[in-house]
Amino acid sequence: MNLKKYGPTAVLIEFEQQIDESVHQKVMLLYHFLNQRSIEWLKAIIPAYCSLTVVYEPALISFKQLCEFFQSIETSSVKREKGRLIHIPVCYHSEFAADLSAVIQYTGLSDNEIIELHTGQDYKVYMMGFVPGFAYMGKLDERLYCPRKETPRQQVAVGAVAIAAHQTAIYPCSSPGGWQIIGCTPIPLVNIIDDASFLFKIGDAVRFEPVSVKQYHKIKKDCLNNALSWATFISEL
Amino acid sequence: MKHVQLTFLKAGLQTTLQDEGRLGYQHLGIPVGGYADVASANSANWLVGNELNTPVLEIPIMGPEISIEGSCQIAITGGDMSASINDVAVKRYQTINIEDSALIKFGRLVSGCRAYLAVGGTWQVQEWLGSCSPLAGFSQLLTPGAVVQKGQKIILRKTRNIEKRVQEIPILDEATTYIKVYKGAEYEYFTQKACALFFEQVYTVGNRFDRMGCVLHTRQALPTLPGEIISSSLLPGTVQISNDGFPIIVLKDAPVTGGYNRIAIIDKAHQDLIAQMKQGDQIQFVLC
Repeated sequence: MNLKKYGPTAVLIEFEQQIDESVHQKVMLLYHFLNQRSIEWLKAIIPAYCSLTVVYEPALISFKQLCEFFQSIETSSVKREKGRLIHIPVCYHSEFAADLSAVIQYTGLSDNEIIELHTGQDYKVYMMGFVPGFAYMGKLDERLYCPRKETPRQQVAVGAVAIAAHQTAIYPCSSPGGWQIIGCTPIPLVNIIDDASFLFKIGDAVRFEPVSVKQYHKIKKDCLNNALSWATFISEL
Repeated sequence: MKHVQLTFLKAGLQTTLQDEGRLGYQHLGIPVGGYADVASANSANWLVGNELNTPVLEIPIMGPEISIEGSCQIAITGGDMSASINDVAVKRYQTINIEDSALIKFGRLVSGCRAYLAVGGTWQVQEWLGSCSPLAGFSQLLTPGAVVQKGQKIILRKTRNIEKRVQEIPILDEATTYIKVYKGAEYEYFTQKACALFFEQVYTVGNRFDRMGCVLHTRQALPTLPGEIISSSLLPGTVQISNDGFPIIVLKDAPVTGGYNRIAIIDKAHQDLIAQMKQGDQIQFVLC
């Protein structure tokens, strides 16, 4: 664990610089440790793949004291948090998969193989960033590795499911996007009715489940009519 | 209880409601947002007797046309956007009394980049996660009304008038603005040559400048690091170096994480100065 000043009111805590489950566990433990306590000097936490940034009130604690605090943390005292598994229906039909042919070309896999690999394992939400509700999920099967698009799109479709390098993600809004789009989910990732407003949180497990075009449209309609809520797609780990 | 009503006859380029923003939700990917130029916003509120964190109108580049109904006090701070009340030019940084009604207009941008308009009273506006600031990308859904539209009305509950206050008008059009920075997370990985160059050069704000930040141009690209970092946090005020060696300053509405190397972070007070910079303005970085 390496602690660095990130300006006069934040400290950056870095672990081994790699996208790795065991490294991310350290981030999660620290994240949960801080969240499970009421700490006066703590203003914000920004967890990432292999780092955690803490914004603090400098009038209440110094950088030196912070270093002592973090060096002395007993992670065994962290309460185990309930995990969630989020089932995401995805339609991989070509009308929703703008970059499928690019991925086929790059990986040498067939479209069915791509779908099998993408849906064949559960992913972990490593961190939230880029835009609100955007969850960086990993790690992708090595065989699916492909680079970002050379020229990002100005506007991606809401719900676009994409991959890049070792990661996969879903665009929650129509933002610019440089990842390779291979499908689309009919579930909204932002919901004003739900307290949380955004579906994903760091630490969630995610499973993609293929649906047909017909099912895609049905689910989309049901979500719009509130016949389906997020609870339908969330199970406990 | 007296009320004041603001009607936007014109919305302006991107007039928004802002307060101090929503700190503490970055782990959900939600930027803090809030006043881009905190000092100017705070001044505006003080000049009308409002507490800190009261909503103000943040007005970049091209201003709105506002019809005010109801007696109240207003103040205009930040950049000089040739503000007028009932077609008479008004000075910034002072309490202005409005009797019954008035028409506020903005004209040519003379200095700075964005003006702040405070109205004395309690703003009857919607909040999300404790702030009225718009959330970029989800403004319509989560913070409707925060990005001002033509025809929109905003109501305030009036509070008591205060005695006239005046503040010195800050200078905003220096030839080169010196920006204080602290070393960033990846500063130690840049070569001595790169760091020296970073501080030596004069930078010009490019054509991309907004609440997310700005891209800087300069004569010599910095020798870059071999790769990007694994996505990590991005605090407002961070100076990143892009893959082609040019600085990008990140501000209040920027994403909370990023992959470019963080060479420096701008002192909080000087982030306010950046918020008043527009294309062609020059800056030089100074190490704190």
